[in-house]
Amino acid sequence: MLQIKNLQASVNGEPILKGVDLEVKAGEIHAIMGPNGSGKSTLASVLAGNELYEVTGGEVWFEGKNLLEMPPEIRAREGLFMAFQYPVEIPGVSNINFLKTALTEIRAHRGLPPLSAREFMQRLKEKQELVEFNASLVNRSLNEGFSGGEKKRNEILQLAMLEPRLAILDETDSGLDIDALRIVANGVNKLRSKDNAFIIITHYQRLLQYIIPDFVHVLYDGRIIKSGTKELAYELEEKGYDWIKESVQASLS
Amino acid sequence: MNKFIFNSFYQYLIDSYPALQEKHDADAPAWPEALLEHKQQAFALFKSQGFPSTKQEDWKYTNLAVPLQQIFHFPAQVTNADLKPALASATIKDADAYRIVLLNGKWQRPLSDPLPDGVHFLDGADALHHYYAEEYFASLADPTGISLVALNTAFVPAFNLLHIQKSTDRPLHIVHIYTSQEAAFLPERLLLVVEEGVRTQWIDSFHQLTSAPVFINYVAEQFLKEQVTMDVFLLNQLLPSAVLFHHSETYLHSQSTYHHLNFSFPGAGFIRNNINARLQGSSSEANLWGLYVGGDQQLVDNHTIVDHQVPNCNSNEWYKGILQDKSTGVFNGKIFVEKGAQKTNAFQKNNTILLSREATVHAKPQLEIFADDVKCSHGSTVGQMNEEALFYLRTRGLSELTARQLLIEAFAYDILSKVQHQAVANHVMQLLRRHLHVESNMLTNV
Repeated sequence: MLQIKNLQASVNGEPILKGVDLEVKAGEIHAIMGPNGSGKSTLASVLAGNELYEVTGGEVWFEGKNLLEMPPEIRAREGLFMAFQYPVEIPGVSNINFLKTALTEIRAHRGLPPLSAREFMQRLKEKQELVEFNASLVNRSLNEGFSGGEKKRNEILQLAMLEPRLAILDETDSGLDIDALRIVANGVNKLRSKDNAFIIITHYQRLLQYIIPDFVHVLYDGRIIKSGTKELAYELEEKGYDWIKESVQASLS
Repeated sequence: MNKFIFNSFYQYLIDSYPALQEKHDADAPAWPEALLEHKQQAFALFKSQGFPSTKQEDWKYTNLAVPLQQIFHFPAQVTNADLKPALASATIKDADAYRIVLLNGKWQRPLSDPLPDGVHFLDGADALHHYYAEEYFASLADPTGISLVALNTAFVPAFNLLHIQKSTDRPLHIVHIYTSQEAAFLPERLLLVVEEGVRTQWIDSFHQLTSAPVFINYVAEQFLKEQVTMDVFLLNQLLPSAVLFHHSETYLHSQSTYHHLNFSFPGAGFIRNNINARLQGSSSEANLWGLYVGGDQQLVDNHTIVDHQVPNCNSNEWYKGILQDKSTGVFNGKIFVEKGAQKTNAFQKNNTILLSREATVHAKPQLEIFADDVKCSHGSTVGQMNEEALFYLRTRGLSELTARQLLIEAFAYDILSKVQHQAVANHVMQLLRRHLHVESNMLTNV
C-alpha cells in the first residue's frame, strides 16, 4: 500500500528526514516511535503534503501512485488521512458542512454520488456511536471550543466518516487522559480491517497497550534505526531511548 | 495643497444654485421659509469649503479629486425607465418586505407596496410640510459642518420622510434605484422618525440601472424615540461608475437600540459611508456591524462615529473586510465618550483580510474618552488567509478553491450571524458568494 524509499526532507533548509525507508501493507498497523526532535511529525506532515516541508530526496508510492506529486487534497481523495497532533479550530466553518463537503469530494473522486442529507446524518450518527464521540456537532464550528480530548476524538470521527485506506495518527495520544485514550484506541480498533492500514506516531508506549501494532519502528535523527514487533515498544518503555542511541553510535564508530 | 477642492464641478454647482431656487414644480416644490434658511446656510458652507481634499484627516486616503474631476449634471427627468427588472433583482426572496421604490431619490408609488398601518412614507410638498419637518430637518446632520452634507441640504430638491408609528410585522425595504444617460449629480435625503416603543427592521439597498457615472449624495437623519428597537440592513449593490457619499446620523433616545448592518460588495467604484450614532438618551445601545468586500479597483471607505453623550449606554462595533484584486479599504472608527458619560461600555473591532498582494487597507480606530468610569476597547488586525487552516481542510479532500471559499465565508460569518432575519442573511450570503473572486486572487498570489 505504501512504500517509502530513502525519503529526505528539510524545513527552512535544515535537513530533518535523512533517508527513511518504510513499507506498509494493507491490514497492518505500524507504530513509529522516537525521542523528541527525531523527525516523527515531519514524516507525518510530508506524507500529508504540507508545503512547509521540502522533500529533498527519495520517493513515496501510495497504492502504486507517486504520492509526492499529489497536492494534499488528492492524497486525501486517494485514501490518505492524517489525524493532526494539533487540530485547527476554524470558527465559522460548521462541522457538519465541512464533513459533508469533504465526504462529497472524496466520494466524487471514487465515482460515487453524494449522500443525501438523510443518509449523511444517519452515517454520522452511526460513526459517532462507533467512536464514542457524542458531542453535538450540529450548529457548532469546526473544533471551536472543543477541549483537547474532543478535538482528538473529532479527528477519529472524521477518520471513521471518510474511510481512508491509510490513516496516520500523529501523536493522537498527546494530551489525552486515560479514558479518552482508551476511547480513541477503541475507535481505531473498530475501524481497522484487512483492507486498511494505520501508521501510529507516538512518543510513548501507552497508546500501544490499547492498539496492538504489527510492527514498531524507532525513528532517530531522521532515520529508522530499529524495527521490531510490539515487544520493541515495551523494551523502549522500560529502557528509554538512550540504549538505542548508544547502540547506533557504537555501530557507527 | 489646499484642504478644499474647488474644481469645475464645484463651479457648475455654484453657478446652478440661483436658478434652481427660482424654478419649482411637483418634483422640486417650493420650500417653507423655515427650512429654506437651512438651505441657504448650507449653500454658504459648501460655497466656502467646496469638496474636502486629502489634506483633511477624514479624507486622507479617499481622494475625491479623482472621481469628481468631471462635471455631474443635474439629471433630466427620467420618464421611460423600466424599473421592473431592477426591482425584481433587488427583491429579497422570502423576506416578504414592504417595498418602497425610489428612482433617483423620487418615490415610485405604482411600483411600491402598500404600507402597513402606522407606517407613513411622504415625499415632495407632503414631506416638506409635515409637522416633523421643521423640528427635525437639518437638526442632526448639518451641525457636523461637513461640506458634503451641506451640498446635500443646499441642492436636494425635496426630502422623503418615513414615519413609523407602529411596530412592523415584516421588514420595510427601501429600494434605491439610480439611472442616468449622462454623468449625473443625484442628491437624496431621508428624514426618519420612529415613535416610542416601536420595533422595526428595514432594508436599505442601492442599485443602478445604467452605467453612466452618477454621484449619489445621500443623507439620512434618523430619530429613534424611547424604547425603539430598529435594525437597518444596508446593502450596496451599485456599479463601478457610481460615486457614493452616504451619511447617516442616528439619534437615540433613552432605552432605544439601533442595529446597523452595513454590507458592501465589489461594484460601486467609490464608496464613502459615514455611519454615525449619537447616544443621547440613557440606557440606549448602538451596534454597528459591517462587512466590506472589495474588488477590482474599488475604494470602500467606512467612517463611523459612536458618540456616548450620556451615562449607562452600550455600543458594539465590528467591521470586517475582505479585500480582493486592487481594491482599497479605509476604516475609521471613532468612539467619543463625553464628559459625564459614566458607566459607558464601548467596544470596537476591525479585521481585514487581504486576498491579493495588490489590495490595501488603511485602518484607524480612534477613541476619545472624557469620562473615567467606563469600559472601552478597540482592536484592529490586518492579515491574510490562515495557511494552517487551509492545509487542514485540504487534507480532508477539499480543493484549495473550496477550502479558501469556506474560510472566507467563515471570516464573514461573524458579521452575517448578526443579521437577525433569515431571508436577509441568506440573500447577503448569496451576494457574498457572487462577489468573491477567489480563483483569480489565488493565482495572483502564486
